[in-house]
Amino acid sequence: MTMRLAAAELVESREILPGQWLQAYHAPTIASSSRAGQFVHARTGDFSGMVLRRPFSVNTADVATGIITIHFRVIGRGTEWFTRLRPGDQVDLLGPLGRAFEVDPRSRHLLLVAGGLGMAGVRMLADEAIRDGRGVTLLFGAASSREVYPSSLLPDEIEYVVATDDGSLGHHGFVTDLVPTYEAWADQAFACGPSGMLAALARQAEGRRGRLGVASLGRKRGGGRGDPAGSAAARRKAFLQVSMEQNMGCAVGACLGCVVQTTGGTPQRVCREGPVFAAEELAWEAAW
Amino acid sequence: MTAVDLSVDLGRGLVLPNPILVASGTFGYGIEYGDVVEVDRLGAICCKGTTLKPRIGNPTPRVTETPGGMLN
Repeated sequence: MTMRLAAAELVESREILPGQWLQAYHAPTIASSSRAGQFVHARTGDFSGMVLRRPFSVNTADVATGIITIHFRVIGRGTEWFTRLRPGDQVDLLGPLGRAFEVDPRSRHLLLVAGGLGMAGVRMLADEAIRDGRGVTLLFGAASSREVYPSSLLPDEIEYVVATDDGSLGHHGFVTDLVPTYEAWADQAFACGPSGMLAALARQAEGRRGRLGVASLGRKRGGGRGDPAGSAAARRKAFLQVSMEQNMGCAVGACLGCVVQTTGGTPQRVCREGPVFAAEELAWEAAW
Repeated sequence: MTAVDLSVDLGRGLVLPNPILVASGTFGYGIEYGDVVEVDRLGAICCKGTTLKPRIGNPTPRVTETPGGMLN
């Protein structure tokens, strides 16, 4: 892992949706070493009650300019503190942290699924996929049109399909309703969003295995020798990878606060073994 | 400048090179901070509370911020 501490200068800050902010920071070392799915841990400058850093997905990273962006919703004192920063202010970033999405080199078509703030978790993967010549369809779900991520902030090359709970824009219903239309086209799927959405996607991915028989037809993967669960190789072969969110303390694996339960029975740290997991690694029915 | 001997003898053969210790729980098992801290410069690391046999532990949420730090 090449995580670094960096003093990052805020370059731009704007409220792109009600209560949701997009901030750009000049952090060349992090920009050049980040991969889609990873995150940074940012320290507030206010230590009177906010000693913990705040984790933010790397939303985009531009090696040429050294700029990374983060996208967040104001949910408490910490995130509110970041909105008061002005261009030129510096924050202390630790990153990139966590393990990235693993794209199979053979995958031509990627299905990205984001719910609400989950956009922050998959946004960078769209850039990487286009750079690598892959086709991308991004399915996005929100409560209403007021919370739909602006298409102007997405690459032109992707197909962007929206669902809203109230039907005010795009499909009237859940974003998961859209998945059956695209899953046969997709070689792999990558998702970030509310846990209920991710659990529903995991069930759909499980059903796909049964219907399409991906493992026994077409793809000869690994010659029958299984890769260890949780390894990059195993995740690369998974149809669905999910980026998990969890209350986080240290973000380097020490405090064991951000665990998720796995089918193997051993809790895994979102900050260290995640935040990206293959959907089949996780025990979705577990209470936590 | 001559080096100052900061070693501490805690008895029973336990001699620390210096009296700088990280408190229990704050530093995991030592390896987690290896990328950002020179662990070798510490006198000792107090590991987290641990058990002889593996335990899954408590369900989340496991951590919360407090005015003075973190409750874990």
